[in-house]
Amino acid sequence: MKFPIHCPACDTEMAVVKLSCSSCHTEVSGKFNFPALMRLEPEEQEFVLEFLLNSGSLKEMANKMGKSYPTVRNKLDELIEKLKSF
Amino acid sequence: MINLFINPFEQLTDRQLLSYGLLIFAAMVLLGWQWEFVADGIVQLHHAPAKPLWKVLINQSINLFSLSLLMFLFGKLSYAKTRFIDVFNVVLIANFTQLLVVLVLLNPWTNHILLPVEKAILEGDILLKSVPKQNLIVLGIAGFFAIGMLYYFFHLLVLGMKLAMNSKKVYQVILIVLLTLLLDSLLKFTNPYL
Repeated sequence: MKFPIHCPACDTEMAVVKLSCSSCHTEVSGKFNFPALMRLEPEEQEFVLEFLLNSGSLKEMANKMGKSYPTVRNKLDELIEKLKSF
Repeated sequence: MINLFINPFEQLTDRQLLSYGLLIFAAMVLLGWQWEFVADGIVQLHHAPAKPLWKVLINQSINLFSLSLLMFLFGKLSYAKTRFIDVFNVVLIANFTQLLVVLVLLNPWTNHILLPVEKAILEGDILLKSVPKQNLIVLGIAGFFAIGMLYYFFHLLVLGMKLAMNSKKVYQVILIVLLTLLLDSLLKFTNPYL
């Protein structure tokens, strides 16, 4: 199931208000913002994960994705800009 | 498949782009040698007297490296992470349009049809009254095809350069086209070809 980051009704970014322990069922209420990585779209999170798994080698990543190096580098630049804006 | 022709730079890896680009370059050199034409400018193709293969290779390289260097300098000034190999691939792949022009318009069959037109113009028959009608129809189609290929050349060059220099600005697109046309005029004027 896709993790909902934005409100399906008004598209505003959502926040976590309740956390629950799966073992003792303790519940914590409050307003917790998502960490930066969680605020990315699922395909962007996938991209960051791939980047880490390829030891940060854009060249290797581009080869695996069947894309050119600048295509992958530009995507990374876009993500950096997005993360900086959070 | 159609996307491959519209935007090959996102669909292919660096190695594939370089391989296809070098094949296009090799084909242009061999055809220039066999069919006796010279690309005496970035967007120029003209018949020329027969030349040895090494001269055709150098002539073709002048266009390839001058445009690559100019685009690389422009790219580097706009975006520090621009790599020469990416720009070089863009210029190599953009030459695909010239290869199409050569294959369609400079092949011996089309030459047979278009040469009487060239001859008539040289002899002062500007209205082309001495040229058969079917030759004029082929000339018209050839003209439209050449214009279409010129547009396709700039489409590939601009698209590839935008990717290589991570550009989203319209004025940079205009500058890419203007710089290319400027280099084309400079090469035509200085004529460094062998």
